[in-house]
Amino acid sequence: MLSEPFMQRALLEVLILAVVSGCVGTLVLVRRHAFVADALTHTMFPGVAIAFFAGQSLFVGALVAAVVSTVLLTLLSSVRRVDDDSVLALLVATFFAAGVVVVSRRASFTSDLTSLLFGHLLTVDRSTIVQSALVTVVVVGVLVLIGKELVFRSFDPEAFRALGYRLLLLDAMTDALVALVIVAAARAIGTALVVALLVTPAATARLVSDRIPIIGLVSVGLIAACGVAGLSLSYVASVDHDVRVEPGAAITVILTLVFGVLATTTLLTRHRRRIAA
Amino acid sequence: MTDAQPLCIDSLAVAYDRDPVLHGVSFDLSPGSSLAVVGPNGAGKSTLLRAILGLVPVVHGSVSVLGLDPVAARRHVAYVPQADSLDPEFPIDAFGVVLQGRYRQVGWFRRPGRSDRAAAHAALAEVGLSDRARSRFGTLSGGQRQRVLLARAIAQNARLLLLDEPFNGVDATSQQLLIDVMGRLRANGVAIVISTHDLAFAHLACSEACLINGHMVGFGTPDEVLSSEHLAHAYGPAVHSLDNGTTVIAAHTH
Amino acid sequence: MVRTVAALAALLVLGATGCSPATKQGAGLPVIVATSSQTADFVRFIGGDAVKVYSVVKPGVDPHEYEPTPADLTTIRTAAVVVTNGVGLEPWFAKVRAASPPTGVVVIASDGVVLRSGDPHVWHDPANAKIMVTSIAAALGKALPDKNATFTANLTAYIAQLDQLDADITAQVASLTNRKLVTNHDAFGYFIDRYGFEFVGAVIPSFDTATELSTKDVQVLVKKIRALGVKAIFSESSLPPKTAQAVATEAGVKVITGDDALYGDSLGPAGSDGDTYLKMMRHNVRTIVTALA
Repeated sequence: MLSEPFMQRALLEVLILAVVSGCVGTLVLVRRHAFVADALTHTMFPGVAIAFFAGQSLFVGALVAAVVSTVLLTLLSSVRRVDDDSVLALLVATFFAAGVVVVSRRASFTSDLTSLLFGHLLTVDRSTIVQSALVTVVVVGVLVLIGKELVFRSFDPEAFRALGYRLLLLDAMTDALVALVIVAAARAIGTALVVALLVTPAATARLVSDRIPIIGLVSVGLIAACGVAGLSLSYVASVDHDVRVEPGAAITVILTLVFGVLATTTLLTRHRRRIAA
Repeated sequence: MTDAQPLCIDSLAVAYDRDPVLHGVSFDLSPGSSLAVVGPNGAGKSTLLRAILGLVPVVHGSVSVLGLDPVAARRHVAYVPQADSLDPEFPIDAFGVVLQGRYRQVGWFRRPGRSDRAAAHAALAEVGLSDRARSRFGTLSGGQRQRVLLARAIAQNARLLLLDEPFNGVDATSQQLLIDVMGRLRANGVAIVISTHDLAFAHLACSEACLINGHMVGFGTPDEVLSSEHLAHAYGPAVHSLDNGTTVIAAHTH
Repeated sequence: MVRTVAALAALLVLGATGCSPATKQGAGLPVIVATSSQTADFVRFIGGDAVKVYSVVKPGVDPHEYEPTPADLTTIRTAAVVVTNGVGLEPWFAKVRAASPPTGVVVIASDGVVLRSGDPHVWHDPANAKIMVTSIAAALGKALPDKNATFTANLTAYIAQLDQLDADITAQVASLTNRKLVTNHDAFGYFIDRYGFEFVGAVIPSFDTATELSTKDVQVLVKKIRALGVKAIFSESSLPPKTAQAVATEAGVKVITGDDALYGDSLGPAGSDGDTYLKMMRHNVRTIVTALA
């Protein structure tokens, strides 16, 4: 299986994505930001779509979209009103619809949409891998540099602000990091499944550890392991049994299953402890 | 820096979009003093604290912290929030929280060094929680969590501390410990401002009191300021006199 | 807790790497990949028992948009010959080729065909089909020279059948007076050119399958249909007939769908009336002639 060049490339991409998604996913967990992360995958869609058709590299368009969405979302959430979530949801829906409009002007509507939403891990090319690696280096670098401020802000925003740090700046940074992960993962696994990579592994890791660095490491490890498992499953199902299993979806399902198993185990252990006490 | 007055407020008025929320506040704090800020909810206690931090628009008067503009003085001021306002599930241990007090000193992009970690350990020891350094913050009791937050302020080497209702949900032992630590800090010249409803504490542990209800009702020693008439003026019907002469404020739910 | 996670992770990884699937090379016959059902059928005829045919896009599935499976990618890489239609029928093939570079020969079956401005559906003209099978035979012969005799013999036999097909169709359509054709999408250009039909309009205005007609387009088409007196609209097998139905109701004509549908993009599934090229062509002609008689 690993002798196939396309499998090697797919595996490499998954491992790179594991690093960047695991790390940023931990940040998303700590910031309780899962909804915003999901929102970003939708708001970035039109920018990504436009870039795809303008003939630019997907990467450039996605980056532009990332910046625009980040600014908009951060500004929006800083305006603290009661109907916060509904405005955000409106923005999400509008952007996504705009993206669909852009895509539908093209004749090859359905297949392009499918690629954008679900990616194509099996036909990932060298330039995509390089881009993913670059984004990973940048993102991990930023996290190393400002990680302590990010955690502080998430834990105690009042004290953070009192010390003179700019909340808005750091929040924009967080959103930008999430957007960058979406850029990295979009081509390989699609915008629809990126959320799975950002949310599920960190949530699972949280069940297992109380320490942020460990949560990060476990998240990365989980994505790597489930990525390998999902790819393998897709390969074996296709080659041995003529059953089509889309690799991105397989990875997501396996990640969710692992979470389910661990969550249930945790619940049962706590219950048993309570009874024993 | 140590000889400058920790706090000088002169005819302070704060307004959000022409809505005056606080006015007529004037007082000075000397090093080593502790000020109880007392008043009903919505009276402007938080606003006053924010003004000291330079976080709200001042429309009249001035605030001077350690001889500086509040914004410039920020790294020497520590804000200690209520422990209950923080997420108990957050994956951080007590030591990690205290270390946050050093971040301004460490600066962006760098990691805390040996001296920073030593300062954090010392601060934790000061509040008697060295043995819980590696416990997750949320697993500690309310009183212990409040002590950790105070330790963070100590690690920061702040000259002025702002405490927001520090005794809510805190057990008696921790309360006493907090008061003891505050006493030691004061002996070192640190000034402390405490926003509180606890009149007994104000009488017991504070050198000054400031009564607020949209404006400053009074400033002086707790005995002078926290008289029944002043309190009635500020709190209205929530004030009661017990048979033994003590004045209490009826409890509210937050 | 951490130990449980580690154990699970180890299991996953072990399970993944432990599986080494047997390569499916089927009794040692050389594998020929065909990217569409028509080319697959041609290869089956020309290759006969000497080869094993691997069809990528199955009959009834839209060949314009296709996401390859691991089996597809592996087989494309290791096959002796890969036969594609060309002319942009399989836009997905380019990236597949890049991801899993074929070690065998890649043949574009439509090389040498006179094209109608980017229309990939060349096989609907039996003359073009002749060119395609000749290219296929040549490629197979070059890749597997020891079987060349078989391929040549099969080719000769098949060309005779194609000639017969052409003659039959010409005879059948000779009696038609009304030759106006409205089909589900413009896939029959070469057929129309060869046998003197008139193309009034496709329900879907491009060669691709996914574009939807706007309300204006529908009205324009309905006007045309009414003005020119078309007798029937034909819907294809691999597309939803709803759109065609809508236009027909508006214009008041017959709509041929379902089992009587025309095969445009691909052959029909095994057991259907269009599961080989020859059957497919005869079915289409029969359907058209019956409706327009």
